[in-house]
Amino acid sequence: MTTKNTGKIEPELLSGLLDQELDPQNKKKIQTYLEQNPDAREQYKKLQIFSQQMRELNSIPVQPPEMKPFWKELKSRINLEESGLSQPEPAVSSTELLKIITESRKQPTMAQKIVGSFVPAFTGAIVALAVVYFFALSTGILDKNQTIVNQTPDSKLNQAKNSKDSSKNILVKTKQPDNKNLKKVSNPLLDKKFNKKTLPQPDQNIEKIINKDDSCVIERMDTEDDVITTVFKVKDKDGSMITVIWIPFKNASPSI
Amino acid sequence: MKSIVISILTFLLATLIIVPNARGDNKVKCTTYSILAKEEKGTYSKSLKKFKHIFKKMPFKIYKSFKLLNKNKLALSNREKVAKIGSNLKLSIKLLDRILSSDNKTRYRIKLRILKKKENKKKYSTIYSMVMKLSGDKPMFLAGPQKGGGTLVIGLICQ
Repeated sequence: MTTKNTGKIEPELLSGLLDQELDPQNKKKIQTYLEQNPDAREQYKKLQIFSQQMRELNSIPVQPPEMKPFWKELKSRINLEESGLSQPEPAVSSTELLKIITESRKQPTMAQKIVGSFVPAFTGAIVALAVVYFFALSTGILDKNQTIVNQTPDSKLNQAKNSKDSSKNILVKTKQPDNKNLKKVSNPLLDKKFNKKTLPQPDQNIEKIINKDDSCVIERMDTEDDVITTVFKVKDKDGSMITVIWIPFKNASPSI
Repeated sequence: MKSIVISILTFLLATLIIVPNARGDNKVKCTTYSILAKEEKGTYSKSLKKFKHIFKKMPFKIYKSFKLLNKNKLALSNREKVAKIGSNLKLSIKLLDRILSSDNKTRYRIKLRILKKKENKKKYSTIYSMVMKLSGDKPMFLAGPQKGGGTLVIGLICQ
């Protein structure tokens, strides 16, 4: 019943007494022993208290734990580990973060709007206008030299008389032919190379009439071959002269 | 980003406003006529009746019928405009200057070219080129090419 060396009672017998599993003879013996040994009695009391507490615990109904948050957290952790990222450390404190969010939600002032948006847009617009203007100018769209105010024939002639180098004022600059094969058959009176000393001067009165009434003044003609082009002047209803140019095409268009 | 978008839109708007207006200022409206003149009696196109008094005189006196084959309206500018006047001929017109005289008459300095298609080739070459000053609302005629027993007459009038 007791341990041989120490004389102490075995714990199984105490728990058997507590659970009322001992026969009456053993029960009486142990009770006597407990009365005589205060240490054993103290041990038995502790055992009683423990047993009482266990019973109380068993009487409390157990709620099964909520597993969803657990699985969710576990899954996120697994994902983080798989992606090789650990949970980031917060860079700023929550107070600072709140401050940043509040500032970002603030509406910009009118001055800020003007500086931030309209000034660059205005600068861009000016640059755009400049680009378009210079592009148009370079392509000849805005060529202001297109219009020439013509002087009256009389004033032209007077100017020519007064000027030493009169040919510059009367004669019209002609461009070189585009096609080098074309042969020039321009009017010698209007040609820049015209030599005043060797060729007769045009009658100024005839020139006046032509300038006034001729509806079409031909400055220059270039043809592919040596051909004689005939120019007819047909009188219109108002007295002006209509020009008809007769070009001798060399079987040019059998299938026109 | 917003300012870039505004700049691009302004650029496009400026292009749309400036370029057509600038072009419109220098454009001259011209009409070309391709006419087939024949010696025998035949059709006389209604739209050519305004030139009847001219066609009565030399060198058109010998022709009795004038048939309008083609009529092209061109807006002349300092870029060449081309009108087809036959199966192998083209008329190229370019405005060089606009001359305003003291008697309120406008003249147009024009470069006119006749282009002919090369045989068995797609390219056209210049066979005739001229520079002239043409009064506004006054016609000028080019004639000569033969076609189907008749003569091709090309008329040009600018306003």
